[in-house]
Amino acid sequence: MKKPTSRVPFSGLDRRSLLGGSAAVGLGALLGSGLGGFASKPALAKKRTVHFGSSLPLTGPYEKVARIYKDAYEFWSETVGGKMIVGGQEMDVTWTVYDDENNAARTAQLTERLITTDKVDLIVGAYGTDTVLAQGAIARKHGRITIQAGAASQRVDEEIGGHTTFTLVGQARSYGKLAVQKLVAAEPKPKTLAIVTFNDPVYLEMSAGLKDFAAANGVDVVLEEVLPMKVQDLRPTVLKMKRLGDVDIVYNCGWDVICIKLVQEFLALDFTPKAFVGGHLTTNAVVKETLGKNLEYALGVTFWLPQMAHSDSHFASAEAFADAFEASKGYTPTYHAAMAYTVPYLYQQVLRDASGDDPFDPDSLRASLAGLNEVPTIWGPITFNEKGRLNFPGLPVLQWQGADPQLTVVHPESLATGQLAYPMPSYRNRA
Amino acid sequence: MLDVLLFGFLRGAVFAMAAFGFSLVLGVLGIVNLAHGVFIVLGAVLTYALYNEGLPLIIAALIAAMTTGLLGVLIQRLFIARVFDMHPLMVLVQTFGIAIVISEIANIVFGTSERLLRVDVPGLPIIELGNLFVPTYELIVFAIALASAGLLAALLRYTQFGKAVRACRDDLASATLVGINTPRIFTLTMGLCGLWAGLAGALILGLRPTAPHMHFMWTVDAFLIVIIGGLGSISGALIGGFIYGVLNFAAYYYWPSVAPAVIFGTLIAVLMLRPQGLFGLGQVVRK
Repeated sequence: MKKPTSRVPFSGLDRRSLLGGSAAVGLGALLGSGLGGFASKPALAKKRTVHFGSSLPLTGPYEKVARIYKDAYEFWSETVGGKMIVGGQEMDVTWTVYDDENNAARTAQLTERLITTDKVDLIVGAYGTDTVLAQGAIARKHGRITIQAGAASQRVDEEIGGHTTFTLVGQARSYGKLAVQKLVAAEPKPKTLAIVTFNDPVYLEMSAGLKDFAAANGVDVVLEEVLPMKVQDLRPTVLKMKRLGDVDIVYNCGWDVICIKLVQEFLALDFTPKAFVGGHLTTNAVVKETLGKNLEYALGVTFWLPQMAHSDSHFASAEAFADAFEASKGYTPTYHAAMAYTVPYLYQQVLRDASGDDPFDPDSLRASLAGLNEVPTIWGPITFNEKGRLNFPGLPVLQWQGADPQLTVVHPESLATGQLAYPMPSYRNRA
Repeated sequence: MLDVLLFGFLRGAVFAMAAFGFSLVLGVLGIVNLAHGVFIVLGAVLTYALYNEGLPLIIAALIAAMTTGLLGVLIQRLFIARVFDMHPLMVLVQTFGIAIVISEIANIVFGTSERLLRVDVPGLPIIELGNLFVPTYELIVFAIALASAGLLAALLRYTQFGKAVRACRDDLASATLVGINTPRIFTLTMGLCGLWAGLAGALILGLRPTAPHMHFMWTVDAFLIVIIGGLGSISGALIGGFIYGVLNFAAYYYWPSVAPAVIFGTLIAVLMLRPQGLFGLGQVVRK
């Protein structure tokens, strides 16, 4: 059984470990967190360890993405050499990350445990709307705060935003804003939009945002296909688009496999819209691996790319961050990695010069986070709105260009590395 | 409407192929094999893995199908045969457990992500039928599914093994009395089931995303097809597959957000109005 100790800078616990014995974990937590969270000024002077706590869906369908989050936390610890400055005093860093199995009830139970038994100093967000909300509810009960990078839903703002939770993900409603903005400026101007979305709050929010942006720009939404999350066959959806006959833009609110399947069905039915936006996971390696040259002209939106002009106090550029991450973890970081790395980084920023008897006091932390103004990070400049949500203008727009399709940023101008190729030539007429 | 019917039929053939084994096992062994979907998803992920290792797709599919066939034999010999004479619920629970264990192992070995292949027929990726476009691969899959139904029907009708299978299906006690080695027939039937389902999984890989965790969805689909088509009949399973294919495609075309409710609602209606299925050969209560 692994237990959090000050000698192990990063430890993961599974269900079996959790059931293994609360006494051992409690002892480990005590060792890991030094004297716990009741740090008066003299106590702070004796405190030697900052204890981070979180839960992630380390088993189940989100296992892969959860591993990236865990790797990113670990990478941050490596980057700071396992130490951080709190109120001018250097302390060791230790982590406890439980497996919540993507189960909200279990997340709540584990968060309770992190706070009451493990006595963590800082809570790092879970992954997924329901688990983030469950974690936030428990944190709120104890008057604690969290920084989360795992849920985009507006429900987070409504239920726990600002007072309990600070969110590093932009609002789902705005994901497609810049893509629509870019496409309506193209010639010939697209007049119609078909949205493929899913029966889940986040995807429906994305879709609602798209409809608003379309209406504001004089684009008719001719199809909003709301599909069950477990849909396997997208032939009926694409057949419907083909039968509609006049679909200029197809926007996929869904994930990478849906993007792949839509392009495959476009090819199968010889259907080519003027523009296809593959969604916010178009940059995932599996998309290009599967579609190859057929990915050319497809658009995507993304939170983050290594070529973006971001930096922090450890890395002069996002590219340098990406290189160091790859050297450490053996794979190119996705946006999840950059976002997750930024959570402890932000805690570090607000705690470095913290003053007062208890720098971990939730009220002080809340005020410090709320007061951040364009703080440079690898994830981009950080300012939170009154709901604790990251202010962001929308997701940059990418296009896959060339016979061996490569990513080109086409919007906004400040980040653009190339021009939008529009409209898409027919799949049938491509070489 | 015509295109919905056409694509529904094309999908239906491979659905039927995925369900043949389920129907056979239900008819002969009299058990609901909840591990059936495992054969299908394993057939798909094994084909994908072997294809990515550089094997030609056909070879990869055949190896995958033979592997799932062997797995069927092992499941029957090592597990089902030991509880076969106990309460039917034991087999149900056991096959459910086997499905969970195997799919979890597959998750670990192959990963949890969904896989799919783009399979184009060189030189003729699409065939135009009037104003309809049909991927040639799907017509080939359709032909393979029909041919496999014919082959299976011939196997059951004209071979000694087939006669023994039918005897077991019609009256197990009499089959035992006349000296048929029923344990051997059961084992071969499970092997055949695994082989056919694995091959179906390999073909499905070019049609829709597949991952180990989808095994139970495929078991349910196979169950639906057999319920619609009727127990113990290959032609019933084939027609059940076609009906299910059209129903599935139409549900996602006309009512996408509630498609699963439409599909299962139809199942409930079939169960109420014609519990033996449209082409069922046997009585409803078994084992």
